[in-house]
Amino acid sequence: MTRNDNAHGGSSPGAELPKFSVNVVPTDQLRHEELATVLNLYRRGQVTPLIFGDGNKPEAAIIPFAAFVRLMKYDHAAHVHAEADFQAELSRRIQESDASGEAGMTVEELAESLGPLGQQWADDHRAAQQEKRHE
Amino acid sequence: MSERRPVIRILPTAGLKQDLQALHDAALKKPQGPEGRLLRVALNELGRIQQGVPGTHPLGYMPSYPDLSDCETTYVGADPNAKPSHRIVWRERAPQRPGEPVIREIIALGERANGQAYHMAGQRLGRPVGFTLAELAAQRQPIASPSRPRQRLTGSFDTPSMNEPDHQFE
Repeated sequence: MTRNDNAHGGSSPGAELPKFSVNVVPTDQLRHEELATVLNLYRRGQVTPLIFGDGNKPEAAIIPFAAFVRLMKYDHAAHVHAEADFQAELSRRIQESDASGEAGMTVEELAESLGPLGQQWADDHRAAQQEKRHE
Repeated sequence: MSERRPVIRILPTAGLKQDLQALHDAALKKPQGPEGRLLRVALNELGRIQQGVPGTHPLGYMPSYPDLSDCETTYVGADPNAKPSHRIVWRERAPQRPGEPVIREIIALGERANGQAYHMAGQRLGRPVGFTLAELAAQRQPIASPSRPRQRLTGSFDTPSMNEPDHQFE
């Protein structure tokens, strides 16, 4: 018996499973007859889920097909949700970018973007404006 | 109680930035040349536009130019004793919502000679010569329309009329 500490879990936020124990069927020396036996136990519901692995380490699980479909649906829903979040964030950034482009700038900022002469003009202009305000 | 002036922000087009950058770079190369003074005067005029000062005059429609009747022109010259050699073409956009700044879109800084500044502005706004704003608005695809004679469009941008008297559209 081994304990699952959710090493492969955690992909769904807020859906952490409590720790649980499983029986691992070793595969390295599993013969055909033994495989048929454990599969029969699984079909009778005596071993559910049926876990395979070597060195007492769970590697694969046989689960009901309905559970597999439910898992796929869950993963798909999580993917769609993540994609919707991503698209919403993308739209928000594009809108922000458009808005900032349309918001304009000051002539000092424009001058500074040109280079040293523009920077000098912007400094002089700010100083002149400051002086004018103090008069 | 003094009336509060609306906040004005300027919105330079990519072309206007190129106009200023070319002037700036030329002034850096020739510190004693007229470009440095012209750059400072142009920036001073942009500063006045930002402060809410009106342009030298609003532009009207003339068939031999792109329709810039929603724009203003501001004269710029480095030599105070000569006729201003350059023009700044710009237009104002009223705020869409209360509290938003007034945007003054600066479209072009170009030479007065041959109406260069106005042709540049028209090109940047996608306005061919000889079409009014109303005509352009009525056409869904004014430039790409195959029914429009091509020669008229290319001719209007590439070879502005050299015979056009400057005083008609200053």
